[in-house]
Amino acid sequence: MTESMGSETKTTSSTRMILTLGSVGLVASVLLVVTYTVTLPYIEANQAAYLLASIRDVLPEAETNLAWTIDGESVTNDESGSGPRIFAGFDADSVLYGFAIEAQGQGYADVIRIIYGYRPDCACIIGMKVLESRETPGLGDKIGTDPAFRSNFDSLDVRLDDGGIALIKQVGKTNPWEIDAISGATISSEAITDILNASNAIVLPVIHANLEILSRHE
Amino acid sequence: MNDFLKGLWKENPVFVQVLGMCPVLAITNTVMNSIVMGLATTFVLVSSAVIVSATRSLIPKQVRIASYILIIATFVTMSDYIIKAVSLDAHRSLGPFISLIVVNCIILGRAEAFSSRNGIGASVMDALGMGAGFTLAILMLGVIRESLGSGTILGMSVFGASYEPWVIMILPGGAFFVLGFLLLGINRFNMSRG
Repeated sequence: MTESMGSETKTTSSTRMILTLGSVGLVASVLLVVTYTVTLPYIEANQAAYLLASIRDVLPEAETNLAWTIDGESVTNDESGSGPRIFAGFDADSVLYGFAIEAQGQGYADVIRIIYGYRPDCACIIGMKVLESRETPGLGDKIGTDPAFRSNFDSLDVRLDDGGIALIKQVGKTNPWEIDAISGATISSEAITDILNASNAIVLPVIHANLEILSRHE
Repeated sequence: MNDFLKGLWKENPVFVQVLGMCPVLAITNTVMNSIVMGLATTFVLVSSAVIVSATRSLIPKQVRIASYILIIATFVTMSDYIIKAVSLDAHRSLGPFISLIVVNCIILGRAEAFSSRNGIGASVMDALGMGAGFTLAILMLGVIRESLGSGTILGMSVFGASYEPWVIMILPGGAFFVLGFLLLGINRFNMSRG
């Protein structure tokens, strides 16, 4: 900018600048609203399908499910609860089969979100799936892909009286409440163990205290 | 036509201009990621080239960069929604790198250097060429890194079950190695010809 430039040109030019940016912004927001409205139903359908598939993964015999939210000591079936979400799964005869429980906790890289299946009659975990993780590819991300690690959760004893699940390194698990760690991914394996123990301590007492309400299929 | 072809090889955005390194290094660990990222970037390049070229006489010089960023950000957010609607899995594995297309300097670079000075037809050809060149480059990295690092291509096994994956290839370090060797090879080839 030079001194010789008249104040008049400056005024017109800044009006024009504001007008330009304003109209670009206006067109941009219209485009975004249109895209958002058009894609929203597809995105919601995708997310619902993913959640349903994840519940199927950890509760293979559940035909239908009801969503609940933990709220302190009780459960609610509206959105008001502040605690973790659980899904009561029912088999083909509408009998309670088990629960899919959402949980999360700090991993090696970022928060890991998982869902796991729990059966109250045997007090055991019957499946675990990683919903979201940023663990190191090839090492930590095996918590979601390694079949040997995932088989730890086919039948994992989680009765609350014996101090929770224990992570075993190298020697191999000998008890039904133990998990074999992935070699090279101890921190991620530990994270899963901690997430499960922390979530069990909060969720399982509530499930057992409210089992009667949760068993109703309506 | 020359506007299109130069992006593929002679002025390839990755191998010659060495622009947009963030997605090149970060998401080329699988072939699928490379394809989705390539398509999304091409979409943003072409759409913003059309708008920037069409409005090139209307936008005052002083606010052109701000306007371009706004235009580019709009198309990036649109492609973000579209990818989410088409495949949640693809969106999940690309994570924040879709939004980061905004700061990919290939796009702002082409808007500033080409679309703001040329007609719509030429700008679209230029953007398509740059997009194709970018996709080709990250696809090369994706194929090499996924096949060596996981022993698969698009999830299908290529070396058989006995192959022990070369894990470093899908870690960030592997991206630098592969890019370095590709640049070495391409520069040698170009020097031997020219």
